[in-house]
Amino acid sequence: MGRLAHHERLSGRRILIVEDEVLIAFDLRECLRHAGARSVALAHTLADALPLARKAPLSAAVLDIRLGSDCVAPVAEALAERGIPFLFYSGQASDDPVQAAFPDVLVLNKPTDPEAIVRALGRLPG
Amino acid sequence: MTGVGASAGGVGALQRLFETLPADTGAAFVVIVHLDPRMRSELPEILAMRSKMPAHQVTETTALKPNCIYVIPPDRELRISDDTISVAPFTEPRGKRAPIDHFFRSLAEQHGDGFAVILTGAGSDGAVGVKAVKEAGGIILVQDPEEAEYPSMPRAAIATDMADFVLPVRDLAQRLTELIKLKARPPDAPRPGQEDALRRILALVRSRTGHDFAHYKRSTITRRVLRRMQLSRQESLEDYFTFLRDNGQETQPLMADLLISVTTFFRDPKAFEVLAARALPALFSGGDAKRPIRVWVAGCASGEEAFSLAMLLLEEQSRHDLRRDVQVFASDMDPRALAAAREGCYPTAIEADVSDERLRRFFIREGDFYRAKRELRDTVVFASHSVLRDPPFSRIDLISCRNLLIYLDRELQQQVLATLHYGLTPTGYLFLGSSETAEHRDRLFTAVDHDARLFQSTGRTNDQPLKLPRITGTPTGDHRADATRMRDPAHAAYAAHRQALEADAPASVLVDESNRVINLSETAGRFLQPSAGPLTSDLTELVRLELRFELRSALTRAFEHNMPVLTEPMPVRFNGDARRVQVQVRPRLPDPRGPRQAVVLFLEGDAVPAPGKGRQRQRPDGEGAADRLRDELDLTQARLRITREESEAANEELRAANEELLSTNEEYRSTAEELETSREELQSINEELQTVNSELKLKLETAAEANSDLQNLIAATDFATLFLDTHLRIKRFTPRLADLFSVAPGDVGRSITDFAHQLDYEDLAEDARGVLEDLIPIEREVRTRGGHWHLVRFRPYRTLENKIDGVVVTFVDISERRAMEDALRESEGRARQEMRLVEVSHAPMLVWDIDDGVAQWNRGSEELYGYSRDEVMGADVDALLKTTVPGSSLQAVREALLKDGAWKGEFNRETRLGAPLNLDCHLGLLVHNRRRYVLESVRDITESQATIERQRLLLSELTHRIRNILTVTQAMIHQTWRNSPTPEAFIERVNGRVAALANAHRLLVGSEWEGAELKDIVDSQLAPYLGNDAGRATVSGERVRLPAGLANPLGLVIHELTTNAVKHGALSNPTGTVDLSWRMAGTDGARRLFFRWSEHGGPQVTPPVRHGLGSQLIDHGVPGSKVRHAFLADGVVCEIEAPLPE
Repeated sequence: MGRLAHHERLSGRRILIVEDEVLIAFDLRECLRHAGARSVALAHTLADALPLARKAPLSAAVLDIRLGSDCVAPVAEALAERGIPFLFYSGQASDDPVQAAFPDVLVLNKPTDPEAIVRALGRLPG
Repeated sequence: MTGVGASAGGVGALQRLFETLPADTGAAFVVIVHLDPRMRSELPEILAMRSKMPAHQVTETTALKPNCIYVIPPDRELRISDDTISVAPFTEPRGKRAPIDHFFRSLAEQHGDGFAVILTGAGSDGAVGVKAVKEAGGIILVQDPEEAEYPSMPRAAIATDMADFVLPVRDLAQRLTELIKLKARPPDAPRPGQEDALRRILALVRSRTGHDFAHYKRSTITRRVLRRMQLSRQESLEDYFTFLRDNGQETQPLMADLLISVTTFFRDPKAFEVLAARALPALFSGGDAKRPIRVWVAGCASGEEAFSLAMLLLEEQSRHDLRRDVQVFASDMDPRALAAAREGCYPTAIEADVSDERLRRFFIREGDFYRAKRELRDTVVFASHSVLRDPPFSRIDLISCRNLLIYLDRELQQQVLATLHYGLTPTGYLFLGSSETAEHRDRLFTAVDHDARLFQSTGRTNDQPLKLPRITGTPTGDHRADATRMRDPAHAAYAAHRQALEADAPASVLVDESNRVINLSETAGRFLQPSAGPLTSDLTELVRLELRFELRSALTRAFEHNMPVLTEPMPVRFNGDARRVQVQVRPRLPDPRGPRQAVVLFLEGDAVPAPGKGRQRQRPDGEGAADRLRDELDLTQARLRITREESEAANEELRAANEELLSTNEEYRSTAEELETSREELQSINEELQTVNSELKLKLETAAEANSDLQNLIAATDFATLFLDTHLRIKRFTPRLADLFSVAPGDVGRSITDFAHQLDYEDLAEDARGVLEDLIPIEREVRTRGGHWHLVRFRPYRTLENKIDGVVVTFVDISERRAMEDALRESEGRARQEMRLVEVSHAPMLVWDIDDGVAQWNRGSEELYGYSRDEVMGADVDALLKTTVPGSSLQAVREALLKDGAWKGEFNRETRLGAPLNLDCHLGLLVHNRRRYVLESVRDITESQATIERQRLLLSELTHRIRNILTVTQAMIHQTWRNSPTPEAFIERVNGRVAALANAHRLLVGSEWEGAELKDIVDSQLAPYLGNDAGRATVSGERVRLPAGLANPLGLVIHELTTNAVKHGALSNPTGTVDLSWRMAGTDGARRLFFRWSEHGGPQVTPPVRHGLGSQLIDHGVPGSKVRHAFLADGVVCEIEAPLPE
């Protein structure tokens, strides 16, 4: 597991992961923790994610665009309102309307090496 | 009231008439002319211009006012009733109308004393009418035919002898004015002093005409003479006498007026019934059956009575088996009446008097008249004869002398009765008028029925010699004349002388040639001593016996030698004294042409002295001679008597023969008159024929013209025509017929069946006969052998009189038409197919008229747009369907279409329900009959666009899922790696979990990613671990379909529970079991799934110390779920509650 050794990069950060696939979310949380994140919050549904996005102390967020039959856009808006940086981790095609609504937000297409997500988060403004 | 009749040329005459008439005559004038029934008449205006009186056309019932002119309207006739005039439509057809007659008759009925004026005109209208007016007492004025433009009508009126004045129009007007004035002032009643004038007038009439009216009833005569007086504008009877004496031509009209008599058919019907019942049967059954029944109607006037009797006789005749001829002599002294009677023509008014049955049997209707049929006319012979003047007809069975005696004074009546009696057979009947009687001083008649005035001769011979004819003597007049003369002194001396002579002259007797006594002198009785036996008028039988012989011989000698004869004195014993008497006979000839007479004078001498002595003295020498002479005388007397009787018989026969001859003569005369009538009829027929001839000539010209038109028509019609008669023989054909039939002009008259023809038509003759029978035209299309088609048309040939006289067959070449029809039919069929195809097609097609909207709308359009055909016809299609053109405009499309004639592209439209449509559209422009039609066909591409979109979405979904699943797999491998103690364990776990993911995925793919049944998910996860031991797991729960988002994680959770049970739990030993169960709760929108995993009979359970990936998956694997664990001794229990999305 040498590739995951740089756990200092996300040190002190509070990260929200909004992902309806439990296995992906678990794997991503494991990677972020390993990269030094101070806390990682998981939300599998829109209902779980919205209160966190609005209230929880967060440094950054990883958002899946589709949550079952729901769309993550309200979460993204809430985060953008609070000035919390986030990125999309999505299996959607590139013309997705949510991506279009947030043209400056980085999109990582599934599947991606979890390390690339960590690096991307690391480059997000603190 | 004045009626004026005029016809051709009448307008001018009427103008002159009314110009001359003053405005204040006091009379109303009614003008009757013959007008064209269809034209408006301007006559009232024309007359009003010239006349001082107002003129009106009579259009409705109008009250007549004096000093006005009333004019007949067209197509109507006028009638007068009281003081109004009314119009009525003609009852007669045109050509038989006689409006003038009609009006005059109505005038006569209502205003007996009106005036009738006849002016110029053709025909004879008015002639009958004036008669009626005249008989009613009116006055007739006629325009002088010399002056009249058309003299026919005035001449006809004059011919009736009724005209009182014949004058030129202007004189006529003046005379009319005077007459109307005179009429207004009725003449004074006759004064007693006028009697003398009247007598002189009658004497004048008698001397001029031979008719003596002296014994006519004075009142009648006076009335009629006064009328003439008025007409001739004479102030008094004296003036009139002078006028009559100086104007010989006045005699005739006066006489005609005196004779006017009116009679009707069956006057006094009851009397006629009695006559028919009582007299006629006796006539037919009695007497000599071979002798005709002779009937005499004395004073027959215009014949009504004679015809009435003739009808009765003919009816009676037909009741008897044995036919006896009937001869009716009808006599009258008025020649005009006789002329009318011979005509046998009576106005229809006689319907009132003559029964329908008799009218049918005896009369023929001729317009306004009934004319006696030949049978009736032949029965009656009309003769001019005066019962007063002429010898009577003899051996008559029935004499009808009605309403004649009433005009005569008593004495004349007696004489007439005697005359009639003489004419009758001993049992003959006399039929008199209702107020007459046959009483005669000699009882000549007995009454059969007194009420009916039917008498029968008593058969007694009249002793008095019949006074026939009564030429001399009007006793009344003569006596008066004598009386007048006696007042003269010279006459007084003459009378004294005559008286002396009568007292002292010898007794005398006037005898005729047969010694009959004509007259006796006052003293003649002294010498008469009739012998026993019937009394005779023979003087030789009447005188004293002593004188007879000498008288007889003296008379004989006197007549023989025509010289006076004086006999020897003869002793005659008067009352015992014998005196000598000489007889002188002097023949006389009072009338050079008449029979001779003789005056017998008895000259009485002195007494015969000493009868004894004288006789004694004479006897010796005279005895023998006297005896001898007496014997001889007796012989001679006997012989003479025989001779005389023979002579008398001969005389009688001669007289009878004479009478026969007289009546035969009458018959000849009437025959001659009938011949004259026939001649006139022939002449009129001839004239009619000439008219017919000229009409025919005209018709012929018209026919020739029509014929030439026909020839040209035939030449001009370029198709074959064939005229056949009823036997199908050729009457006529056009040249083109030769194309079809082998006929030549000479074949006319041959039967059409004889000819070969080019037609494929066996039934030609049959059809022709069929048309002749049914009269229904037939049409056939027939092919010639040359392949041409002909329309053969049969029509019945109708003559102008609508009689069927054959068949007309026309042959019209219709080959070209048929070919065109075939082509047309074919293209029509094609068009219909195509049309039908369009109609039934599901492809939407429509046609719209650029100016008038939708013209066609097929089923495809109905289905696509949702509008029915009926709703859209005529609608603006683009407005209706809200057409838009993506990337262009309707205007651009319209322009391109008009320019190029076609357009292709995409339209967006809306259906009726508002659904958007995306259409691929083809437009074509068709200009037809100056209309611009757009043909439109579209393809609905809305659906295919959606499919492309769905596929695109599907693809992106698929990409998303593949990426997702790959990411999930990646994450699962990472996790498993982190939690696996050994590489072998890692491999095993990765394999199990990938299989679990694949199972859930398989179920989802099977349902096209719609979702998976929970039961199937459970079974698919358990199956790899239970193998043949499926009984160790019990599964129960209702059917519930889980969406992909739930099916995948729950499948993985069940996998983890199962692998745990296999490793540590109930499935790790051979006997443990697992119960899986679930249920649903909550309502729509918030349903929840309760899932329960419960293990039994497994090894001792110890709650896990470390939470590996499996536990994490079970606890958090299903998003939004709540998971509870119970670690019971018997086995683990896991309950999962998860929200169930819709």
